[in-house]
Amino acid sequence: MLEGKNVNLRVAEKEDSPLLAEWFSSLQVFGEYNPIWQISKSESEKTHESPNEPKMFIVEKKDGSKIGYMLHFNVLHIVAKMLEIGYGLVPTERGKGYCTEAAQIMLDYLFLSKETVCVQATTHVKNIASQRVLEKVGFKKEGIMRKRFFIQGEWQDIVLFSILREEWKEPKILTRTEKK
Amino acid sequence: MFRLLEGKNVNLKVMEKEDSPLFAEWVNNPEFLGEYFSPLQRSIAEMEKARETSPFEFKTFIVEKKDGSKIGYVSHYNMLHPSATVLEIGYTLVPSERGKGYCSEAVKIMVDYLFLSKDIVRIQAHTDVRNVASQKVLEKAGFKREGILRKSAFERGEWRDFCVYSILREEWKEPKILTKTP
Repeated sequence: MLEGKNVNLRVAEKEDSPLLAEWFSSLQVFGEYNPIWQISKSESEKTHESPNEPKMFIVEKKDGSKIGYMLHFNVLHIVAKMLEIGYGLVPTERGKGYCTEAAQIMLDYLFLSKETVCVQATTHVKNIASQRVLEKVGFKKEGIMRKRFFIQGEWQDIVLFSILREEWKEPKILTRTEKK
Repeated sequence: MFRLLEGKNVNLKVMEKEDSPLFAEWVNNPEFLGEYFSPLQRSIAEMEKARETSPFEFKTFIVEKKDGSKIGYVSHYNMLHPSATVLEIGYTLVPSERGKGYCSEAVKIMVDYLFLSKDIVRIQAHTDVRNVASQKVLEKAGFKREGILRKSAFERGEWRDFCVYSILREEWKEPKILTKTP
């Protein structure tokens, strides 16, 4: 488990599939600035078992309550494989800094465990809260991808963010190498 | 519980494995299937396998009343054709819950959901030419009758005429039941 000050990231297990199905099928958690999905528990389990699907982490508070998800996945282009992160918290736990901390943990984790030189992220142009999370952990806005995602019935503009290894420099949260 | 497909009197819930026995009971019951369809009999295993492997990509939703009772299903699937793949819907309610407007609402929710979540311009449906109740559901949801496919399906021992209905995105315009913002 990856530990932060107020939240931990715990790799999702099969038993988390129903909760993830619920979150990804909900307008409040996933659907507001994302495509509308309706996912059954079996579909969610199948995704968990498939090797190519997003690597899912549950964001947990120190009391063990599950408040959201953090994930990373590969975006395949003919000449490169790009590493991208995604995340969402239940509405009641937003605005408390949990997502920012979870994103920092994920960034530290990715740069420490993978050879990648770049991590990217995408947000809806109107999703200011999500953009703030990325800016706070050091992502830079690269540009706007026009009419790239089909959201709420129309093709909508998406902002592309990225952070380079040399900008991340060193882990901010995953710094301890041995238990005290 | 964060639900998405909610109407005034009914909700649509993605079908789960636990719903298979009830679903099988429904579709193996000639009373449920009704006078326009053959009394096909399928095992639960057969249905689950068909759902997972079918090229038509069936996605079924259980229609639930606000008290949680499950009263039928609405599904969408692809009608495959060399020139284009068109999304089609199907639906049936248990006989005791018909005639109350539940199916019309369920179909409206499904239409909203499909146009909001998929980049499609058209949704279609077929009904037996004699199935007036089903046609009324479609008309209330904004579908227009396009024509009759003569002797296009073999049901109850004979080739039957079916009418085709469709609704276009530009006619739907905007969601009637599923509001765009949470």
